[in-house]
Parts: sequence; C-alpha cells; structure tokens
Amino acid sequence: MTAVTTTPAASAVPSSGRRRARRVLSWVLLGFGLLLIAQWVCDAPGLSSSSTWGSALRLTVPIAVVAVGALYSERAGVINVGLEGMMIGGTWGAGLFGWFGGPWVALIGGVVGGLVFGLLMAVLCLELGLNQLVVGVAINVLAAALARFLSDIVFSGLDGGSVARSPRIEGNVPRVSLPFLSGGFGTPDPLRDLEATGIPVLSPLAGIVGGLTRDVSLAAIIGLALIPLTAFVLWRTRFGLRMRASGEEPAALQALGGHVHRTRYLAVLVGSGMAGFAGGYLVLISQGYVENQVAGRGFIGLATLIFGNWMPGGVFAGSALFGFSDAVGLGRPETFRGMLFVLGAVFVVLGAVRLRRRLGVRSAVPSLILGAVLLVAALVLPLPSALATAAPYLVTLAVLVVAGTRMRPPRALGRFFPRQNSSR
Amino acid sequence: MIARILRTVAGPVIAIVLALVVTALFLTVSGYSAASAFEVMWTYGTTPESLASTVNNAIPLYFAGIAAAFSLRMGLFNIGVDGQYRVAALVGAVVAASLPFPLWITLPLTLLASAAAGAAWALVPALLKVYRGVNEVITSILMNAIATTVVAVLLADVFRSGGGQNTGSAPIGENGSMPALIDLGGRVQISGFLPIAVLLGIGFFLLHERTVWGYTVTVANLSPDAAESAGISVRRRIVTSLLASGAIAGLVGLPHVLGTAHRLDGTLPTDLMFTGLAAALLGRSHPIGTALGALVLAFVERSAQVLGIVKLPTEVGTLFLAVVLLSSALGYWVVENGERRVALMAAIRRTRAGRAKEASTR
Amino acid sequence: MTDGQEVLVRLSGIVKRFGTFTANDRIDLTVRAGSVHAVVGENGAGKSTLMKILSGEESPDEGTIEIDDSPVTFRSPRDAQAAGIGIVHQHFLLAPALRVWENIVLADEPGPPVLIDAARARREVGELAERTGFPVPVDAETADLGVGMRQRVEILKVLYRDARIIILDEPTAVLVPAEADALFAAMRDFTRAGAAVIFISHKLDEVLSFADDITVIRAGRVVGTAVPAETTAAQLARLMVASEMPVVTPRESPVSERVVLETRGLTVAGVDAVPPLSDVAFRVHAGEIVGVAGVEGNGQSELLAALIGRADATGTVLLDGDDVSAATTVQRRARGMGYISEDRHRDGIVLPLALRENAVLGYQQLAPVRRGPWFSRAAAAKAAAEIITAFDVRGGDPSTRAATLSGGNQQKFIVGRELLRSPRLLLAAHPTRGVDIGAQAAIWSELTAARDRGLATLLVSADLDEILALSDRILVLHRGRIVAELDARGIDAGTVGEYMTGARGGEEAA
Repeated sequence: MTAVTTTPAASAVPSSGRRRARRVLSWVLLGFGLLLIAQWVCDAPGLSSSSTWGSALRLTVPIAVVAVGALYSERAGVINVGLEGMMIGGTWGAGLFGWFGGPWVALIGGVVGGLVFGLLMAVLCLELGLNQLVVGVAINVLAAALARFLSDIVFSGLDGGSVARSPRIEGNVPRVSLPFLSGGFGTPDPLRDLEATGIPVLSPLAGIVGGLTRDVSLAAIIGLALIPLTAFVLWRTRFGLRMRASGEEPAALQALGGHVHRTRYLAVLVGSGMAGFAGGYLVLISQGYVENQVAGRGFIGLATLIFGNWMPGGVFAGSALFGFSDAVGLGRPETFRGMLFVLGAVFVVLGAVRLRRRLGVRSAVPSLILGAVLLVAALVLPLPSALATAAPYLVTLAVLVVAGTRMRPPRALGRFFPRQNSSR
Repeated sequence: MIARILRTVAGPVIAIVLALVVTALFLTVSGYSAASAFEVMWTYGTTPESLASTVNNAIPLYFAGIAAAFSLRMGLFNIGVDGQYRVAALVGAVVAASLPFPLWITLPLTLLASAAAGAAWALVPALLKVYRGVNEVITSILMNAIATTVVAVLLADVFRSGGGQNTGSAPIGENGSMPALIDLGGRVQISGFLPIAVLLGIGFFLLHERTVWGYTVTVANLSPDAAESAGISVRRRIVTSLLASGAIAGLVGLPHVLGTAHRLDGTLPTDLMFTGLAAALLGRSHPIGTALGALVLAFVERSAQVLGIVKLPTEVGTLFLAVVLLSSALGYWVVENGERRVALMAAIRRTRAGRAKEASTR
Repeated sequence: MTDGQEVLVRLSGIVKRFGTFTANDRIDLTVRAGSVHAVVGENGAGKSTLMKILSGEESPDEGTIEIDDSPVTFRSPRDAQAAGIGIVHQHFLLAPALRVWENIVLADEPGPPVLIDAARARREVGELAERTGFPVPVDAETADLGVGMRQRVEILKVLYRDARIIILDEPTAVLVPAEADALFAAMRDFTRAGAAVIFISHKLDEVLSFADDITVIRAGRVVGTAVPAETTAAQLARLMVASEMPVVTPRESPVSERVVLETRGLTVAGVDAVPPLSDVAFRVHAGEIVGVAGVEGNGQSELLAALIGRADATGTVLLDGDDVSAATTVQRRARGMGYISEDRHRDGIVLPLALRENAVLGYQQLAPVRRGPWFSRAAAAKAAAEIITAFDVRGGDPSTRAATLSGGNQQKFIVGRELLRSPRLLLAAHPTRGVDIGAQAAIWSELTAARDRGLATLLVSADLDEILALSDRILVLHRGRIVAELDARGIDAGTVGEYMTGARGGEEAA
C-alpha cells in the first residue's frame, strides 16, 4: 500500500474515531486510484497482481514485528541497535526448537532466542548503565558469532544440519484464506477468477484483495496483529502509560512511586521477544535456520521505527512501504516503473500542496524535484534491473527526504536513569 | 604519572582479560580444551609471517577505528562506514587500474579518489541530519544497504573484468598497487600503508588536541548550546566530522584492494566496520590506543585461523571480538566505579585524619 | 510557635550524609495542622534534602519522622504519599509528551488491573481541578502549557492523592506577584480544612507575608525559628547567612551620553500568531545598567538570543554606532559584546572541561589563544589563572574541571571571564541565579565597579530585587513588547509587578 506520509499527528486518543476512519478510507481510495493510473500509464499489471501483494504481505511481516519490538524498548527510553542480534538469536532458537518440536514450537523457540539477548541487553544497560549503542552493536556481533559457533557444535552433528543450517523443519504453520472470497477452507475462489478477467477496475481490486487474503500464514496474522495490540497497550494500559513516562521523564514516574527500572526491563524483554518472533517467522519461510538469513532486517526494523516516528501506525506504514517496495523489486521491471510513477506523482502533489499552503519553499522544493525526477525515471529512463533490488532502501530514503520529518523521539531516549536511593 | 598510565591502560586490559575468560568458558563448555586452543593460537600467531600479517591486517582496522573515532569525538555514531568503504574500494580499484601514470602519481590520486568517494557517501546522512533533522542512524543504515547493492551491480556489469567465477574489477598493475614497505622475503612483508596509518594517527591527534578546530569540536560535543553561544556552528562541525569520518573510511578497503588482491572482488573483508569500532572503543578513541586495539584484534583474528587445522572452531576469533566489544564498555565501568570508590575512601581518610588532628589539638 | 493546634508532622534529629558531606545535621522540625510553615535558608543549606526525606525520596541516616504522633518509616515516595504527604517540586517532574490527565494519574491510574479507565480518570481530574480552584485543560498535551499552568498540574498531582501535608519547593520562582498571591490564597483554603503546608523559599518578604511559622536552616542545621509578627527580613537574613545582605553602593559617576547599544524594531518571529519578541527599541549608554524585568517566558530569552546573534531576528542592532544586525556571534563577541547566559550549565560553561578550556569559551578565535590554526594551552591557562585570582574563584586551578566548583564559584568565573575582556557591552542574564549570598554580593560589586568604569550593561533578571538594586533604568517586557520604561530610583516592586503581568501597560512606555 502506498504510504502517503503527511506526518501523522501524534494524537493518541481516538477521540474522533469515526472521522479518522473516514479519512483513512479516502486516502485508501485515492491511493487505489493512483495505482490504477500508474498501471495503465506504465503498462504494469504487476502493481495490483495478487502475487505482488501476497509477497508484499510476507515481506512486511518480519520488518513490522521487529520494528514494533523496537518500539517497546525505545518508547521506554532504551536505544536498541541490537535488534539484528536479537533476530539472529531468534532464528537460531527457532531452528533448534523447530527441529524437535515442529513449526509452532519453532516460533516459541524464536521468542526464547530473542529473549536471551534481550536479557543480556537489559542487564548490561539498565543494571550496569553501559552505553546502549555499544551494547547493541556488541550484541549484534555476539549473536552472529554465537550462532555460528553453536551451529558448529549442535547442528553439524545432526542429520541435515551443518554449520550454516539447521535440519529442515517439517511442516509449517497453517495458512488461511478468506472463505467465499479467496478460497478459504475449500470454498470457491471468486477473487482469483475476477483477477484473471481483466475488467478495468474490478480486476486490480480483486488482485489486491486476493493477494492480501489468500494463503496467509497464521504466523503472519499473529505478527501483524501485534501492531494494533501495541497501540492498545501504549494508550489504554497502565504498563503502556508507565512505559511512555519512562521514556519521557523517568524522574516523574519515580517520584510518584512507579518503578522505572522494572518497566524498562519489561519493555526491553517484550521487544526482544518480538524480534525473536520475527526471526522465527523467517525460519518458517525457509523451513529452517540458515546462516545470514536475517540479512540486515534488524537494522531496517530500527530504521522503520524511526521512520514511523515511534508510533505503531507509522511503523505499519513504514514496514508496508518497505515490504511493498521489496516485492516490487523482486518482480518485473514494469512494476518497478509503476511504483516509481506512483511515488513521483505523490511527491509532486505534496510539493504543490506545500507551496500552496505557504509552508515555505524549503519544504516544497525537495518534494517537487524528487517527484519530477521519479516521474521522468518511471516514464523515460532506462533502469538497470539491479536498481530494483535496492528499491526498498531508496524508497524509504526518498520518503524521509520529502517528509522532512518532525521527529519526536522519546525525550529520555538513551539517558541512563540511576536506581533509586543512590547517594551522591 | 604511573597512576595515570595505569588508569588509562586498566580499562582495555580488563576488557581483553574478560574476553579471554569468556571465550575460554565457551570453549570449555563445548568440550574443547581452552588451554590448548590458546596455546596453538599463540604459537601460530607469533611466527614472523603471522606477525607481519597482523600488522598488515591491523592497518585497515586502524583506518576504520580512526574513522569511528572521528565521529565519536563529535558524539556521532558513523554507522555508515560499511557502505562508505565499499563504495570507496570500488572507486579506488577502478581509478588505480585505469590511470596510465607512474606510481608516484597514481597512488596519491587513488587515495584521494577513495577518500572523496567515502566522504561523498557520508554526505547524504550528514546533510539530511543537519537540514532535515533526519536521524543519521537510519540514513546511514539505508546508505549501507544501497552501497552493497550498487557496488555488486556495478561490479557485475559496468566494471566487470575477467571471466570465470571470481567477479571483480580490472586487475591493478604495478603502477597502481601499493608496494611493500619492508620486504624480508618469504611471506614477511609490511604493507606500504603503514606510514600512511602513522601519519593519519598523528594528524588525528594534532587536529583534535592542539588546534582551535579541535577545541571547538570538543565544546560542540560536550555542550552544543555553549558552543553556539560561543560562536561555534554545531551544524558545520557535524557535517565536517561526518565527512572527514567518511573520507577516512574510504581508505579502509584500499590495503586489501591495492595490496593483497590487486582488484576489487568478493574477497574484500565485510566486517571491517565493527572490528574497527571495537578497536576505537578499546582505545578510547585515542590514536595510540586505537592502534593497540587494532593490533590486538588483528592478532586474534590471525591466530584463530589456525584453529580449523586442529579441528577447533574458528569462530573463536569472532567470539573474542564480540566479547571484547562488550567488555571494553564493561572495563570502563569497572575502572570508573573503582576510581569513585578510591576517591571516596581517600576523602573519608582525609576527614578522619582532620578530625583526629582536631581532637588531639583540643 | 502558633498555639492551640495539634502537631501534624514532627521531624526529630534528622541526619543525612552524602559521602563525607553532611546535608542535614540533627534537624528538628515541627509543623502544626492548619498552619503554613516556611523553611528558609541559602542554596545548599539542606532544605531540599530535608524535604526529600519527608517526601520519601531519600531516607535519613538518623532521626525519626512522626505523623499524627505516630512514627513512620518511608521506604519510597509511595509510603509518604500513603501517609498523606505530597511535594510540589521546584523543577516540575512532568512528561511533556503526555497529556495533563496522564501526568496527574500516573502510577495511580483508575480502572481494572491492567487497563486504564481513561474516561473516569479525565472526569476525576476535571472535578478535582474545579473543586480546588486550579482549572486545567485536562486533555491538553503538557508540552503546550505555560509555566503557571504546569505548576497547577504539579499541584493537582499532589491533591489527586489526597495530600494532607503539602510541600512546596520554591513555588513562586516562576510566578509573578499576583499569581503568587493566588497560590497562597489557595493554600490558605487547604489549611483551613486542617491540612498543613510547608514551603521552602528564600524570598523573605513572601515568607513574612504568608507563613505562620518560620524555621531557618544554615549549613545543615536549624539556627532559629521565628514567627512573622515578631521578626524582620533583616533578622532572618542574618540568621541565614550570618552576614549582611548585599548592599549596593550608590553610584558616583553619572551616566555617559555615549550610546553603546541601540536596537530598533527588533522582532523575532515564531510559530504562533503572537511573535515572541516584537518591535523592541531601546538604548543603553556607557556607564549605565539597564534592567529588563518580566515574568520568564515573555521574550527575555529571545531578546538575548537576538542580541548575541543566535536568533532569526529582524530589525537593527547597533553596537557603538556600528550596525551588527547581520554579524555572527563570533563577530559580535569579537567587537566587544560580553555575555553572561541565563543558564550557566546550558551555555555558560562546559562542565566536563577544565577551567583552562572554559576561560576562552567564546574567545577561542582571538589571539593570544589562537596562533594560526593552533590552540595555545599556555595562553588559555594564563587567562584562567587571571580570572581565578581577580574574581576570587575558589575550588580549583586552571586544570580543575568546572563541574567540581560550586554554583557560586562557577558563576564568578563566568562573570570574570566576560569582564576581564573589557567588553563595551555586557549582556547579563540572571547573573546570580542559584548562587549563594556571598557570591551574589561579590558579583553585584563587580558589576557596579565595571559600570563605574564605563561598561554598558543590559541586565535581564527574574529576581526583582536584583533589578531594583542594580539598575539605573528598568524596561519591562510583557508578551514580547516593552510596555514600560521606568526610572529605577523610587520605583517599587508592586508597580513593576503590575507592568510585568500586563495589569498596567502601555501608557508609560517611553
């Protein structure tokens, strides 16, 4: 889904729930319209094909989950650059647990693997107060080294395992589809038929909806459900409020008798568990632990968190943008052009709107220029195919440039807060 | 004087000792003999070829470490060193291979080109941070990912040279390669990059400790508000520090490209950024400390290579590195806490002595 | 001691040490129900520590606390809250990104075990605010509130937890006379209902007006108790410092004709409709101190930033006749503009650095410190030594870290650094904030001595006493505009206060 990023206002309380829903709906319709235009202009049926959207969903999940995990930690005030390592721990744990317990147990193993490193980070950063960035980097390196080391010891001796792989995990988590629409539970699959017909507006719609709802792994559903769950936790539960307070002004929480340390510990652990879950998800896709399968997703997750301005909605938008770009990049070149067209159009419009609202030339010009460049690239320039592989990163970067973010990191992020009753 | 030396050295020493202990622990728990592993490593690591190799391998680590230290002095984490040195390595390889000039022209040009490429790659995060307020961590991460793809693509298509399995750029001839500084025959050679590293270290020290610019960077890092009121442009310092860090990062891949492989191909080491960062942390961002850190880490990496031959896990090297990173931070915590305790004890002793004197004179 | 009421709080023999430093040395404090009890003392005397012990944030090394005649031990602030004690901190502990109601109910949220009943919380907070006379916008983001409103939120935090003993730490530091009166009136309502209010202050006139009992603390010990009716400010001050209040010698030399600083139409635009600084025009002559009075947040920071070159300002700034409106900070300082910043820890001094490095802050581009590209540490050390000797800075030598000096000595160092450069113009913002009386006297005398030597000074301060004591002329800033220009001789605090709050304004502006 194209993320039209007018920086989301940090209004947490859904006081105008219905109004917001209507606004989201109109953006969705606009986006869909733009997609149709792009598809027609660039002759790119892939933009709305179910295969693209299905891939997009699969590629979004690990990023979204690890980013949401990072959200817990950072909202509580602890910088977490060790996500990559936690995900690696998750993949290794999932590989191990999955070998003797099957796919669902693999997911549990993923969580456990992430928790191990989460605990390490919590102890080092919260108890000892070590520099959070250094600890994060160290955890990344440590996890990679340990994964290889332990694979050598454990997996090499097993049937089907080696120093770079765990034995294959038999079976997988069940997949579901929407009944009566995309062929769930043995019912007919009208969306697929509709997609194949080629009828102007309905066929692309069927492609998108079908892609998003067909053969969706339960693990993916659980993973994505974590996002609204996190929004709920953040704004409706005590833990969420105290977590936010810990990240903004821990002294306030402590003076009122709250436990800053306990809250941060829990937040870091929850976050690392989620990162581990994301690793477990990757393992399910590859049917086992494979060395280097995380491939930088932990970092991208952190980037997505910052991109999303530390809000669950923003995280979803960012990871969806990333997942979609990734899916497009893996597909046909025309689809890539189509996406560039959409982005270019969005940027140009955004730039024009900013100019009209007199928000200053400085904020409008980059948007306009970038948009124009993208449109030209989409329509006219020959593009090396490999550019598409870098697509998600380029797209995220482009959106960052244009959005000219008004970043709102948690105020106490990274600051060490000493335990209570520490004499001078 | 001795106390000061001890205090400075204590941190890194504790870090290394801790790393040794943890690595030994892992080995023993997995059923290997830590003692024999270390012994084998030491014997192998202290042969002349190994020592020479250690010095040569320490040089790119030193570059990466100084690059990290440069930005650390400004309170920034240049996590984009990874992408910067890859791009710069490609630029350097291509320049060195294509220039028709003699060595004494080609070499400086190559170094300059690589430094410029590294700085250029650091420009995007720097500008975005200063003018759009975008966090430099994410932009650097994204630039790293983009660099990996771009370099791979360019290597496979545009700058491809020679067929077969090993994709790489055009081979660099005599006029482009870095000659050995000292050649003792056999495989004992010291890279010609050593004097460059030394000069870099000296330059880094002088710049930060003895110039007005260095003073302004120190102030800007410790208190941006005080800097601004004192007329120091923090923005400009941020950009210059990141660019300089990128330029130095650009040199990181050159020892390999110009000295070992004589081209850019898949053999370029990929973890130099983290190891370099570890060296800088071990050495507390000090030019000499970073050099020692780089030497220690290179030594461990080299001596760990022998483990495969004796059926011990080679990952010992990476494990050691990882624990060193952690324990270098821990080492300072121990030292700082120790210092505080020592100072407190001294203060208590002084007051007691003062009171005792008071009591005796009454 | 006021008779006829039971004792609500009794602290006996409280001792608290931090390392080798004794912050509280056998302190006794007795507070009766329904009374307002003031605790006065200099900075560092131990008042805040004592209150932290009472509020449960610190635990005493020796001594007992009795509430309603039964001894209690507080292991955390929560225990103190349960006993009915609430503290309103001087530096508010509010999370700016949270909403007002969230800040108030934090850690005591209404509702079932895991969830928060947000509707109930909002309702309860709203009702409480109305009932106690501290209305606040319940759903607003705390970051958007002004200082006075934020203090109300802090107070409501305490009231939400049914406090019977309310501690106020320097409550009127950020309020204007009228707001302070309103606050104390509200406190009186509480005491009428049987609660006790303890407030820490160093504003003696306030203490004499509002308190029923006064306890004076000096260097960790109680040196006296008093009843307002039977004492005077001078006597209290003498107890506090065992030395006289600083007296400013009347000026001998007249103000010169030469205009050193002139501004015309100085404006700083902001994001709101009302610009933070608007069309400010004034002059400062050589040998003159012009005071700028105003409630914090009415444009003082922007004015200073515009003058030093750190703000996006329009308008003209003339320094000794030269137009420096477009000059950078470095250029302005090089031309003789000295600057004592409002918050020394933020931009006056760099704490981790040695005094040697701090001595040249702002002047690093000038000789003799700068020799080509090189930084001469010897020259910097010499400058530091000069400052230390000339301004009686105690606590170290040029190689000592600035952080180890006391606040007063740090400030003396900063004042020395600026004055020793013989500037033409000195921008002095809150020059004696958070500084003990001894250092304050020293700084005041240095400023007047410099004035007598011909220095032009613009003095911005929230301490009306300071403005009245030092200034020749007083400008009042309200909502970014100069609303009055007054002759300092013969003016009284009340009149200035009225201009400061906008109760009076406009007619007498120059």
